[in-house]
Amino acid sequence: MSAVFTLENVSFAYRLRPVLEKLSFSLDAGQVTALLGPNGSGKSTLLKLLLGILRPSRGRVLFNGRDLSAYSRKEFARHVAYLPQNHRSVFAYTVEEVVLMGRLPHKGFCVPFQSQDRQLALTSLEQLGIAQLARVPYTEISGGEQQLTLLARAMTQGAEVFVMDEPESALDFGNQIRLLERVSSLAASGRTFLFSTHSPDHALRIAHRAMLMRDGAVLGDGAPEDVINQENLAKLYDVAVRLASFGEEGRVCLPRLQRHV
Amino acid sequence: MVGSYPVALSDAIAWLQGNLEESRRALLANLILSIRLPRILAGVVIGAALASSGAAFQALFVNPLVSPGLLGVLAGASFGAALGILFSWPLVWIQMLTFFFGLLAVGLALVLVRGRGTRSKVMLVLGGIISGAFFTALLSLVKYVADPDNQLPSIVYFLMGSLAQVNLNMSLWAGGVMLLGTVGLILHGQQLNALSMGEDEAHCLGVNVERTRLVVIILATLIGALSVVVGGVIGWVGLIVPHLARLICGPDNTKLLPASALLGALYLLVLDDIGRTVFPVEVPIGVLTALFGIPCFAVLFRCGQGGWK
Repeated sequence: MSAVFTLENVSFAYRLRPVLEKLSFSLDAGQVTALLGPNGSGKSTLLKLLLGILRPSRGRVLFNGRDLSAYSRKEFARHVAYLPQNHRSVFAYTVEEVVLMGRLPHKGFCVPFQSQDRQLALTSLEQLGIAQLARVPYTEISGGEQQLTLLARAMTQGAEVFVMDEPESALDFGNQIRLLERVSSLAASGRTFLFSTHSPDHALRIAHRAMLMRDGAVLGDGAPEDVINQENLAKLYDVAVRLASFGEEGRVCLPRLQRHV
Repeated sequence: MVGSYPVALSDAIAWLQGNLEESRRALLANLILSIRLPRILAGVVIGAALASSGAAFQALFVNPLVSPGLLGVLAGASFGAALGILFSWPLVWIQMLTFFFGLLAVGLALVLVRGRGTRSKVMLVLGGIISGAFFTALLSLVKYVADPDNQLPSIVYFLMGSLAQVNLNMSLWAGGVMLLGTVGLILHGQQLNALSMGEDEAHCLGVNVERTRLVVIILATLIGALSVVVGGVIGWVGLIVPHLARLICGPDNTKLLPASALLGALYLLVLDDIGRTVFPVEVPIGVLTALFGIPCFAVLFRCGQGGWK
């Protein structure tokens, strides 16, 4: 399997406060990787380093074997898409207008969108089953539909790597599962996913790989069934957890409650 | 056709065709070329430029309540003008001072946030507030020491905004630059769409966030400073017109920016015509834009339907 992203000894500090310490790993094409860790563990910072929003203080980030700084923003955006967390828009763009923004990396300055751009946007919306929302203001659709819209935009962008920051965190139970299903099936068609999440269950459900982060370092890295265990979750979240197995169906986490008097 | 001296449409056409007796021709030429035309040009261009820079700033700062004066350009330019009036300098020098301090105020805002999270628009807004407040305080100082019989009224009238002093030369060159700035802003419609979704997102859509932001700020600052040079402080156009335009054509900046420009031009032209005809004395345009604009804004605000949430 070929590596999409490779990190070589990457450290990052905000001013003088170190956030990430000497991370080295690579992400393989076609895999779904879940990033788990408590608040402030450096997950978002790591995602921003991979997206080129932040630059490492030390070390380097490679995409397809080339240093990120060797890419123009447009070129990079044709390969890697970002789906921000808990997304809100101030202005009432229609869903179609939001999805069309995915064509920006393919356009020269000031070139208007063509009918084939609109066709691509519509195709993505149809694939995700939300074509009927095309003319609806993005500010008036549900959180689940917003995440699907962002997925459609990433597909319209033509990206093969999707980086998602806690995509399911603001969704209800049903929409969480439906979003995970979409991610799973898009991954089956060859796309690479990296998503941060607060739910070990979601990682167990759809990820090929789980990375556990705490205090800017990787505590565990491997198949979710192997690394998401009692011991690691206790280290990660300071919570006692039991894992229940449903055989072929997979496993779930059951946190134990402390009795407070 | 509108104004205190009646010029019928047929008069204007006859003047254009050149078949008028000598004295009448000279009078009309004076009236049309040196009084009405410059004023109309200035009103149209200032309206278009302020409205489109307001729309651009609203997208850039992801905030529909932002106006073109956000980074302190109006405060700086006002101070420059007041300073020039205080020194009783010739008009050209006052204009240059106005322009210079407009740019300086925004420059100060940018320098304040340099190196300290220049990516963050919140820092930029704070820089603008600091710089604007500083120059407003300096303006108060100038007003305080100004001679209350001559200079103070001049300063106050100037700050109310008026198109009465415009001459053809000035409206042509300043208008030309403002028009170029407006076109420059309109060309950035797609980038502004992406930026209005947030900086990180725009970055990941392949937009050069820093460069786009700097270009838009420079263009809007040029426009803002020149508008004060030509017509004094004309507020509310840059805040309200984009909202009206958004009601008509939606938030897509590739359409919103040109629509704001057209609507802004119309808005200021009509208000200026009202200002110099409806009342027995001419009412400063800056007062009218506020008097008409604020109720408009209040209604939009109450209805909550300006194409934003």
